[in-house]
Amino acid sequence: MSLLVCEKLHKVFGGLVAVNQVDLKIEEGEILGLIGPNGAGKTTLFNLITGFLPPTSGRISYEGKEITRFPPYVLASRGLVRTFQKINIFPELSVLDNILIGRYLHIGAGFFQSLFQSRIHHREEKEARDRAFAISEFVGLSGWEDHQAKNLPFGLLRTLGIAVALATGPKLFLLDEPASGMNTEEKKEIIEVIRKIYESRITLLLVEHDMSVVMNLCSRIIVLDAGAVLMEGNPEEVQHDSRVIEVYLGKGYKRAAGTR
Amino acid sequence: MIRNPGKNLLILFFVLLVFLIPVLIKDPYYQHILNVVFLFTISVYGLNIIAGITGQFNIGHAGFLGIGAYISALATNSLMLSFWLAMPLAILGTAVFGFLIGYPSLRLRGVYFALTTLCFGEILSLVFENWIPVTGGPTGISRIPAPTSIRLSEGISFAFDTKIGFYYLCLIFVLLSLYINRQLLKSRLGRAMLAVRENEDLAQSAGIPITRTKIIAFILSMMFVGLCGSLYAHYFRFISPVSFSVPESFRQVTMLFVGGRGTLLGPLIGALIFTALPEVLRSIEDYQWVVYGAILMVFIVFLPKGIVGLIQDITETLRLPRNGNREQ
Repeated sequence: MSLLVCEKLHKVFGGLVAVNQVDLKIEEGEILGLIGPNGAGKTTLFNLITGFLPPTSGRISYEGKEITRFPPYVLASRGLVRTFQKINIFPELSVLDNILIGRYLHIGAGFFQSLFQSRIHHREEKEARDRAFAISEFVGLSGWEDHQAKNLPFGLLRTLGIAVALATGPKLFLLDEPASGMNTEEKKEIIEVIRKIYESRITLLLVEHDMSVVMNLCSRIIVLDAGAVLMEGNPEEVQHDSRVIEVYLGKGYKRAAGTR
Repeated sequence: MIRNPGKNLLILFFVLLVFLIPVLIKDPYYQHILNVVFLFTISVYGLNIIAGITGQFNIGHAGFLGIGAYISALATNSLMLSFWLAMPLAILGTAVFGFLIGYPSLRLRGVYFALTTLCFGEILSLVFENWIPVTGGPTGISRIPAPTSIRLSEGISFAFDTKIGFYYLCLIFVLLSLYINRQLLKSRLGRAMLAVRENEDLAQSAGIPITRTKIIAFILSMMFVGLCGSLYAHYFRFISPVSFSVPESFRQVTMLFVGGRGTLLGPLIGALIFTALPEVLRSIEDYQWVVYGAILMVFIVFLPKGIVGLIQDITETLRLPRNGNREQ
């Protein structure tokens, strides 16, 4: 059974159909790429799945249960967690506190336990901190834990966003253009991090503008154009599909590819 | 977090110092000022939870302070309850009121909460002024009893009708407020509040229910305000609508901003500065609000994190690795 299923997902903004009757399945353990030119509706589809926008019609189910119109924090508690395209961190807090906030769902002791400094509170705080340090090391943020998040170098800002999401313990991890705005070196690093996440058996959906990142990571790719699914296939098929080349890479590229 | 072995010793020294202050400062005028500083400190710690830590601006703070004060004053004067019953009643009443205001207005993002609280601040001061049978109108309520003394056994009792007695009562509550704020920041609830302030979208996707977190923050904040209102009424033994007007709210917002919002010592520092300042500015009393307004603006623009925030930023900058790049 698929981990996530979208059926006839539809979203209209005024007169604009942003997502048009999209059917989509994500299988457990895979790393699925979602690509498409600017304005294809990738981010809208992403927001529908993660509960940040309500769909106009259609349904979404996760682990066999319907989750359409569930608020994001409920989805997060079930292991459906996203990152954001723009830099999304808690800027004034330390890197460690950023990741600790991600552990919110895994700490049972509340405010009163903290007030009376109960043993459970101390144990859970220590566990959460250990875990946060481990995650920080996993994504390559070691040594920055004490510093304010806003002082991180640009390339590490998005890494921190991934670390926060990772700390929630996702089952299905949705990444929105993790490599956008990055230079080649930073891109390489983020691809490595994503690969490590995939290897730790987390199912991934990767929305990406950058072909090289998707081609590098994904085994299956869905191409979106004008809100609808254009085609689906492995990187090889997608790269050589004439429709994809036309809408995504432009007609000039088609000619160039033809001569190759 | 920086662990410092000398830090605990330093804290101990300061706690000892504040306990000895009434012995060192004999002038009743200064003792009075210190008591007022402590009163405002408790209130600003409350404001800190909702505006400083959770980032939701409450601009009707003084109005809510009035609720606590009037509940407590009415409970002792009309219902003939002891202060020790009136105080929890004031805390509870203010918290319930906070829930009623916060529940609808905190569901919306943006300025709606600030606007709602501003309006309620104004409405409340009108109510205090015009609901004469209950609040006494502009003349307020007088002859409020001082907190009843506590007698532990024959010969050992604590009285709070003197300035020194009240100082210790307030001091205990100030330390308690400080402790509660500190433990809050160390708990998952406190971190959730910070997350809501910093980035609501990211907070949500980390599994934090933002509306619920904001409402809890506001109720908690209102409990401090209720406590302060009660102490205020029984310290001055007289309350009138002037003390709970909208400008008073802004004064407390200024205290929080200048001291450092969301920090542990900010409220204390802010309350200290802005209780002392009116005494200094007494000769130009008519213009004091202009001075506050100017100070608030300067801080919001240039030092949005206040005095404590500035110190934290300087130490952070000094600790930053050079060239912004660190080898692992």
